Amino acid sequence: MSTNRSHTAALNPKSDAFDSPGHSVQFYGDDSYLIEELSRFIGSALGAGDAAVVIATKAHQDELVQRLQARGLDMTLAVQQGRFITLDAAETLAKLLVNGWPDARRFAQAVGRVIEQAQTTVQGKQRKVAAFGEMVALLWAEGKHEAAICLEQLWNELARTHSFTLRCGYPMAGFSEEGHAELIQKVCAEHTHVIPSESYASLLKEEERLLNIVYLQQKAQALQREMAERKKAQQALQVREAELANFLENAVIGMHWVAADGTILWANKAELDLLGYNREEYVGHNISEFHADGPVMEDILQLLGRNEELHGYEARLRHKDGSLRRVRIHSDVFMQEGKFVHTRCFTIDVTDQRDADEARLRLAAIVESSDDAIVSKDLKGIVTSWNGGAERMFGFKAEEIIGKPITLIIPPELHQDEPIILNKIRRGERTQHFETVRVKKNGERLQVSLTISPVKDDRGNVIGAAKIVRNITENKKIEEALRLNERLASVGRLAATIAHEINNPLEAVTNLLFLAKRDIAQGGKARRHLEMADHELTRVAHITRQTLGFYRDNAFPTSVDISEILDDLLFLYGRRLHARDIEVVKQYKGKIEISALAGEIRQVFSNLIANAIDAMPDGGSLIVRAANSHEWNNSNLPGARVIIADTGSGIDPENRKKLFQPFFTTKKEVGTGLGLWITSGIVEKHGGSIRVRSRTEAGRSGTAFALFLPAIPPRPEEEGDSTLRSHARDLVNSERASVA
Amino acid sequence: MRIIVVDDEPVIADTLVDILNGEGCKAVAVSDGASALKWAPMMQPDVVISDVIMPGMNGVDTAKAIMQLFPKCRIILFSGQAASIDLLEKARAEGYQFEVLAKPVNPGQLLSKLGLPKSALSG
Repeated sequence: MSTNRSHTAALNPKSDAFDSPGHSVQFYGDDSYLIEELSRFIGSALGAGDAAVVIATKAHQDELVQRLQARGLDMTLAVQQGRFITLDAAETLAKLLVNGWPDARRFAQAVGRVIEQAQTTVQGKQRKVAAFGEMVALLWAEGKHEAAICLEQLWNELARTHSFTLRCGYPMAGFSEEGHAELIQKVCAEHTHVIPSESYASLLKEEERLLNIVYLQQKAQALQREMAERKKAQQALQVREAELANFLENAVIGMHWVAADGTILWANKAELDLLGYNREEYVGHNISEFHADGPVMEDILQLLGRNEELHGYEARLRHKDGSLRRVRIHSDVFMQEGKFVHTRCFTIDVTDQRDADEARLRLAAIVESSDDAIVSKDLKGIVTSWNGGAERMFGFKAEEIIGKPITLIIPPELHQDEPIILNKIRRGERTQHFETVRVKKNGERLQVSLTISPVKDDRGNVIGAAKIVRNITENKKIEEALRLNERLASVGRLAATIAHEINNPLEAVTNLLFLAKRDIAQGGKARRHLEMADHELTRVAHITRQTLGFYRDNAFPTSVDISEILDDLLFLYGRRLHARDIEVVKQYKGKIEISALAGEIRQVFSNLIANAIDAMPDGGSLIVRAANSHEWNNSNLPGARVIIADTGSGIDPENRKKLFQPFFTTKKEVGTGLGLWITSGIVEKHGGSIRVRSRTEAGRSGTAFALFLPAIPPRPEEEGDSTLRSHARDLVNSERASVA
Repeated sequence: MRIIVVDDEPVIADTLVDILNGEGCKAVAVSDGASALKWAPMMQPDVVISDVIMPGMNGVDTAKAIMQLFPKCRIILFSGQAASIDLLEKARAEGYQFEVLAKPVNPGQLLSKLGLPKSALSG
């Protein structure tokens, strides 16, 4: 508390304070207290026959008049006598201000005159003038504290030349702030008396007042301390607020507030950086300008409008550079008294993550769709992943084998290889195209090519291995077949060369035998020998011509006599048919001629007849039928129908489906699995078709191949033809040779 | 029937001539195409039987030359070698179509092709 002398004096009330002359100041908390005190002040003046000047607000004037009348004063009379003069405080104040500052001359005119007028009324009767003013309170309320003090000083100056008792009224509400302590001293200094507000003034007993002073002193002290604490707390709060604002502003996660209409109210740096805008380009704009998808935007606003929270809502925002950023939005609404104030959104950029996710999914899809088995295992050899290719290749489902040792697919005799492989992996070494054997769930073995790469974690430590397993069983078969094919082809070429060298001497011998028979007497033994020699020679000629005859290279369709070819083949296979006790049933209807590549057609029938013979190791019937006919489904397409049937054991329905696939064979020891594949290829090339029927029931079993070959083959494409032809020729060569 | 047999293998040409003459033909043997063309105007042959692959003029060229000189002369080619295919294909592309027999030719079949009554001796 201040120790200022005048202040202490001002606050040291005297018992006659209410009625003392001079310039007093009245503080009040409640208007009714002011009116009460004022009515005593003015009332006692009027009652004593003095004059009164009241410069107050209209409300205070009215209340005062009512109160005075209630005290039994005839206010009408007082006004009539000119002893009660009222002025509106605001109007009067307006008159005496120049540039918001009280002007001495104007004060004298506006206020001084009225005081003089009141004095004139009571002059000579030894009466006084009591005045009340609250223009200072109006200035004070506007915060024009200096102007109010100045006005007080003008009143004091007026008091030097005029005799009157003045009271000013200040509501305590005008002194509620901390800095007002000094001002209240200043105000008090301009007055001779201070009338404290009702809380104190209403106390009548001296000891009560002293007690009240002590109480007030204590309170003041406590308040002062509290104020200091509060000041400290406020500073701390400000520091904290600044820190929080800084924290939000510089947070790595984008944040923004959006008003109910979509206007962006605030956004932090991370949010602006995320989208590449500066503050002016973003804050103040509507959020919808930045959303790539209108419906998404609407949905978000609707959800938030219903006061729902968003958790990881996916949206796409437009970057300043035109690109789209994928984000996840977390948001709720800040509500105050049930009203939507603004949203509080966190914007998390997941573009990179989504791109990475997509890349990962894409890779996963590639891995999953691969025909190769792609599996991974840890350093203990435990399977950790197993793709679709692996499921198909090994027959183990992923859930069956993940977590189990990889040795499940390694043949027992190769188990000792696994530690070697694992050691290599630990050293970070890669194994490429290592050919080995693996085993399927059903025990079937596969020839595989393995590529094993170490899998490393982000620190470069080897944590396992990725294996790509390619099934090369088929490749091996093809390789073998190609090798065989090549071998057969070279044998074939050699045989063809030899055969051509043989043909000339054969011709000579044939002719010589003919001449010898002609020139030797019939019936003799020598003649019979010659005839036998001729018979055998015919067979030799037949064999060389049929197997290695020069028709084989015929590259253009020529007229082919189907029955002649069939007869040739049956002749060729005569010995085998005879050896197996197979009866041949031939049924040819008429002369059957088509235009075809003779060598290839011969190949087709040769394959079918050879298969039929193989199907009847213990004898049976070979039925060969040929007739002019037309296509099964198209009677406009004429051609030849040939049926080659056996009475063998038949083909299982399961195998029947695979008959025309390459490398499918039931004759494991001797078959290449290519015969029927080639056969169907040739038939197709000639525009024909091939069908198979088979029965496996004992007693009526057998297999029948039915062929249709059109009379005129479709014209082959010019270019493709030569390749096809050479391909077919190679195959035909090899097959022919194998038959020979 | 007048026949010229062309073959660079004398045994084949001679034996064939022998067989044909035995059936009442007038056949002569020559060992190359040039000789065949030299003999033809004197022989006025009804038939020329020629090997295809021969030193000097090949059978196909010989046949073509004979056809121009004697359009009515029948020509039968016979061959035992794959190489003859190319020559025949070429001739076919040029519009020549020949009767072709693969060696060894059964003499009986040849005789019947020529329309000669099959000798009882031929068996």
